[in-house]
Amino acid sequence: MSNNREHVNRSRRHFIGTAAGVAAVTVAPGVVLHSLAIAEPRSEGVTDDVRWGMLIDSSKCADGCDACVTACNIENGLDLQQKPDGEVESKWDRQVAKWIRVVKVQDNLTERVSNLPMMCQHCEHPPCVDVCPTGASFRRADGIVLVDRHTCIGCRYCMMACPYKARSFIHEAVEVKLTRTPRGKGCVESCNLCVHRRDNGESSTACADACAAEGNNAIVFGDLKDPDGPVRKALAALPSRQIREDLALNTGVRYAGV
Amino acid sequence: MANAVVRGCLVCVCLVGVLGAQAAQAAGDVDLVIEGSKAAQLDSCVEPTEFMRRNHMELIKHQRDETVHKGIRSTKYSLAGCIECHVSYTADETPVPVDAEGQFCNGCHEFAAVDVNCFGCHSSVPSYTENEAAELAAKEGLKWHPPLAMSGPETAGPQSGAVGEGNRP
Repeated sequence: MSNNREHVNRSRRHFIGTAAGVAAVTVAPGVVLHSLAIAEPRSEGVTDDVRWGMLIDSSKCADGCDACVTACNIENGLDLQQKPDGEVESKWDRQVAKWIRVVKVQDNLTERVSNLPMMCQHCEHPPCVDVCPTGASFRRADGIVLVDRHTCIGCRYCMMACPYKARSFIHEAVEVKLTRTPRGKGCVESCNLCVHRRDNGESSTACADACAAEGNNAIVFGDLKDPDGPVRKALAALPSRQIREDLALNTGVRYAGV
Repeated sequence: MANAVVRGCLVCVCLVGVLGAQAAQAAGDVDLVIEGSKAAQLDSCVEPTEFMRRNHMELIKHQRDETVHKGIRSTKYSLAGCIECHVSYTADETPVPVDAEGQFCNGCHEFAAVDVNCFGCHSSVPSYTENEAAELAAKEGLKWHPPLAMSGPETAGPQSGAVGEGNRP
């Protein structure tokens, strides 16, 4: 009797052990991936070992799709801006901060239309940084051009200097803001390549994620210095160009299919 | 054996007395740490209370440059951390802004006649989107606080417009 019970127990243990092993093998990669996805925040300063950039394939950019704009607005709290009472709609539409504009360009001869999601191009030689009188507009070591709102005095020289019309000025007090994207009246801002995601070790931007989720995959984000990275591979495979390449700014955002 | 029990009892009584006295002293000290905030449950801030009272502004100011220019977000002197810990909640779990009257930041700055403008740009309540909150909850066990009054007017969708002269390929 006792011998029999011991036999049963042993086989049960064996079974449970095997089951646990199988479960561990199945679940472990997921656990590892998950912990990578929410990596620890950055504890050492950014270096120029990387240069963040994007390739936007406008031939894949679907006409009438605004997934990247919507995702950007939600990610960066731009949808929380409120039109002041009595403000004229058209004026508000010109003034409200937008980080991505979808620009439609047409070749007059061939009538071919291209959609270009246009945002801060993260130039290597950014004109906005050149003209900033306080040093608020600066280029981070990893290639991201952004505004330090603590030193921005709201003069808007950078908005004049930017050839891409990428920057917005916050004209009105902002009541509701997200913890990760502070925003207040009197400062200039623009796309920062989802800098909070960069610092938290995430691999993509909100716009690229949204574009992929739509199935268009027009936006590829990554490190321009990594020869095996997605951006460099895409750049090697496709003919691409910089917008206003005559200005020799060496932009971090490149366009294919224009 | 009986001796050991008596000794144990004495130690317990002493401990209770000492801890009670400390608690009473702490209760006398704390004035602006709002009841119901996470900070109220902790012994001290990220540094000793006396140090924080005099130097919190230096810590935050230093941290802001580290974060904006170098991307360092892991250090303990973050304004978001201050707010997360010092914010209190109404009965229905709505966070009360730290710069509202009588709240942690406002209470002291009002008394000291110091006008802070942190909250012109920074959110004065922990304010996360749903996805971000889920991640934070998984990592740090934080509560989810949706941005107050999320129902703002939507910003306009795609805009067509010229980039400037010569943007045409």
